[in-house]
Amino acid sequence: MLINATNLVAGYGGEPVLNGVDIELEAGQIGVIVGPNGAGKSTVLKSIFGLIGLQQGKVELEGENISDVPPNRRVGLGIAYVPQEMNIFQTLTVQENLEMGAYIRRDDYTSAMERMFDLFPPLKQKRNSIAGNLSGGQRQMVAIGRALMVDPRLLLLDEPTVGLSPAFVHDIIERIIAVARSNVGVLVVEQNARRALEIADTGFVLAGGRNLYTDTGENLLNNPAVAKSFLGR
Amino acid sequence: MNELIFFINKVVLSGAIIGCIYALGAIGITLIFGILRFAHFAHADLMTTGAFFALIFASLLSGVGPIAGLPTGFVVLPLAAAATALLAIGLDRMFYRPLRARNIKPILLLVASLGVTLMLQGITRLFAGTSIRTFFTSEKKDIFRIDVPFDLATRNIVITEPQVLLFVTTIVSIFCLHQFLTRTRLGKAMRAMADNANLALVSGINTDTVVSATWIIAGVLAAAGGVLLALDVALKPDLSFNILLPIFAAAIVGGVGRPYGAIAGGLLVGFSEALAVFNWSLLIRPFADFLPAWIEIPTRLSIVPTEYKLIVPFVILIAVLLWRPTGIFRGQIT
Amino acid sequence: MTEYRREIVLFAIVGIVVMIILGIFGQAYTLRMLVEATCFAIIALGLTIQWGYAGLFNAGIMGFVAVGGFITMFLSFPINDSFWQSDAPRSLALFALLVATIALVLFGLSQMHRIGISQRVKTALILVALVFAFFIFNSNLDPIARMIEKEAGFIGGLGLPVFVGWIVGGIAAAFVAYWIGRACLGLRSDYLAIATLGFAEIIKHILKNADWLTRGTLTVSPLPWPVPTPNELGFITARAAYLSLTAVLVAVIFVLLQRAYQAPWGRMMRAIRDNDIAAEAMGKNVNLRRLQIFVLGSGLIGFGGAALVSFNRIFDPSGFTPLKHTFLIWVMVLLGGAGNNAGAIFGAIAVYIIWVMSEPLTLFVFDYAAHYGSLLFGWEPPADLTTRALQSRVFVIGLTITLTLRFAPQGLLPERRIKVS
Ligand SMILES: Nc1ncnc2c1ncn2[C@@H]1O[C@H](COP(=O)(O)OP(=O)(O)OP(=O)(O)O)[C@@H](O)[C@H]1O
Ligand SMILES: [Mg+2]
Repeated sequence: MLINATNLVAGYGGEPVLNGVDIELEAGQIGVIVGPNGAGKSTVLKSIFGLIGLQQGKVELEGENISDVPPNRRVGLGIAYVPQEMNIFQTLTVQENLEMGAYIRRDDYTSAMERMFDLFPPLKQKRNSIAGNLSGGQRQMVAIGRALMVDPRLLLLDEPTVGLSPAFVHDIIERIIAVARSNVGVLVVEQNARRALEIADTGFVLAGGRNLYTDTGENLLNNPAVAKSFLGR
Repeated sequence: MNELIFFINKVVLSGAIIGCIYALGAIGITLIFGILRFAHFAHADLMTTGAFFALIFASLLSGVGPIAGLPTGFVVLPLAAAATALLAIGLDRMFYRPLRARNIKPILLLVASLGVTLMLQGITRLFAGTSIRTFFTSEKKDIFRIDVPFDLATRNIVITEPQVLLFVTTIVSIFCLHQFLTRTRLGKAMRAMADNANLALVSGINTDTVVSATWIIAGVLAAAGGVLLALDVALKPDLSFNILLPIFAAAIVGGVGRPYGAIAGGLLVGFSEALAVFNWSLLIRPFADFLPAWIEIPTRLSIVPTEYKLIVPFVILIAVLLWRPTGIFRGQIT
Repeated sequence: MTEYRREIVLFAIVGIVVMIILGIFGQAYTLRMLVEATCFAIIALGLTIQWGYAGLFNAGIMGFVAVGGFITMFLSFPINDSFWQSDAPRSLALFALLVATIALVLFGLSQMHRIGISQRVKTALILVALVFAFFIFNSNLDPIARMIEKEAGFIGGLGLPVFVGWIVGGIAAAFVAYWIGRACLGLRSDYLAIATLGFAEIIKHILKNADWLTRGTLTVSPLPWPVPTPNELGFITARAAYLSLTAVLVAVIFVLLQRAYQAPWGRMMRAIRDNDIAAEAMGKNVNLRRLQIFVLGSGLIGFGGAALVSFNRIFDPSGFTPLKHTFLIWVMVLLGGAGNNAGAIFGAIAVYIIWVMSEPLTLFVFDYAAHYGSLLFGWEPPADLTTRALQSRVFVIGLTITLTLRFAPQGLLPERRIKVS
């Protein structure tokens, strides 16, 4: 098991937002978290990455309890995180954004950077442009590329396709599949629930800070209760 | 012709000189604002303390200046800068970091920096006294008089050695800073953290290291500004509140968080001050014959009297806040 | 009653200390200290509503104190006959007319968008007009100022009742605060601090250099009192009378602020302070509320400053220092407990006592150090040791601020948070 988070209880001071969430994912698999606004999806990612402390429960990476490791050291353990908003350095160039993603690497990472440009070809010509001036889709690529620069074992993506045109949504989802193929576990929070569950090895339906359903993506898509409440129509 | 030389001496040169000093202070202010998100009110006193350190080193090492052919105060500048950088880090560890660790609002850091500024002021005055000090008690200040190759010009352009050193130091500092921010890993991390502190943390950037680097740069530049100001004029212990407003104005005009903006802002404030207190009647007088007889040129015709020089940065500050609060170069913080 | 134990204990300690001082230094001395402390309490109440209720950082208290002090000097000082008999009043009246005209023109320009002039043209016109106005203002005021200084010294006062001076002083400070607040309150809180700091330095400079108006470094004295002066009653009775007046004022202001704090208005202010984003989302006009409280607090500061200056009987612009008239008050509020009115009063009195006592104490310590230093180590104390010694007070004030922030961020009398159901 790549990542095993059990019984997560966490919040922002005050009442907890998560009331015992379980997330499990194998290497090379795609996990998708869906649920209504405010369900606590982003909060799950934040607590797996250690940005907010756990009140209960634990997070294990390949069997090792990492609940007390601070977030900047989790990067070194192979977890990369792309926040939902403000996920690029707007005033830095594309290349500098990628370099910041590789900040903790002391080895030569030029090959990793070339791989990013292969994965996201539009970034190659734009490598010296200021990231804040890019289009929405390109920014999302910079954000994901930045996270991938450390060659993570686990990639946490918070709504990578929000606000993108359908063509770009397709693009990004293709890239997510490609990343997972290279034996990286990818945990995605998605608004495009139907589209996302189609590619999910495991889907987690969250509501009110709890797991409502956990199953394969296909089963969830075919589950009438899920379809009725969360997939529309 | 002489009037033009007078103008160069009084406006172009003095504006550039004080502008460079302001720029050196404002870069520190803007970096600290960008990284730690608070207005560092102790910065002017950090500059004064830097000059005070140089004064101590100069009295300990008197005689090294003549050997190097430079003013002793300038020769000991690296030592003073190192001491100021250490002081800045120490102040952060003792007074600012514990507050940051409690996750307080940044405005409380500002209050703490007011406390720090008073402590620095109290200590330097306790040891150095409240009188005006100069580096040139035993050495003499070299003055260059540049002849202007025109027949009508009988006056010279006058510039002193410390002023030349000030220009050189400022240019070198800015060049080094630029290289650091755009070429080195830590420099880029600093820009990244100023841009988006949360994402910097998420990327695994060690924010403590970046914070320390910020204090070192701010401390070194503050010391340079303080020492060169003291070399140019003298070390006045009550300097700090008079220089604080111009350097804040410079940082805000340039857009907070933008070092290059701070440089431009510093020069802008410096030139504005020089232009505002300049006695324009000297420039107009040669044209008196062309003016109608009823216009009488007063002996002093400056935009603001010298005593009110402080009004200039204040007016600039308020105008920018009203007109474009992000500064003319669009800083990141409003 | 147990709920107020802290308050009772702390105020009792202050009372005991005052008694001790009374025993050592005598009645006249103690009364003077207490009057000044109550004036500072009014100023501190002004700051505690700005900082404690609304989280607004005012680093220019000195400026508002100086405005209040100047206005009360101008209104209450006796009429200067040699000024009124000269030509100057006529020139000044003409000058006032000129200023009014300029103001009218500027106002007219600022309204030009109403007749279809584009915003950009309007701004350019206003800028040009401002430059002209500035030159006209300066070139006309200068000769008048010189004439006044030559013929009458300075323009003197208006001979109005002192209390009018205090109230108008407060209003003037509030008026200035309105303009500063308009420029800064929509922005990051740091900008208000920078702007107020600058304003305070400038107002001091102006008061110090406008000799025709304030006599500058020559100072104006003796200022009248709202109660009979020591010349009529003797020090002790007169000061006691002054103290009863200021004490009543503190009490009245305290009661009013206490009620405002608990009223919906105060609740809203706290909501804005604690979470301005949420408050804005609830539809409160955050900036307007902040402006209100900034103006109100500055008005109080000006009022307290007026009372302080009147009591000292001398208007000396150089006497306003950031240390005593800005930072000392910050220490009072931080140490007393921001947002707690009783804390501000306690802080003002306690810190002022420490401040007054620290002078002889510091000198004593340093004399001692100099004595033994020279005896044991042959240390030659510098000639200006006494002026230097007083700088250690600057250090102590700074240290108190940082230590309070770190170890008692709520102050000695923390704000009482009232649960909102
Ligand atoms: N920084 C924060 N401070 C306080 N409360 C927060 C914070 N972030 C989120 N919350 C609260 O936690 C709850 C869950 O938020 P979260 O962002 O995890 O939801 P989400 O499922 O990601 O929603 P969305 O689909 O809108 O992104 C919400 O009620 C939100 O108000
Ligand atoms: Mg979310």
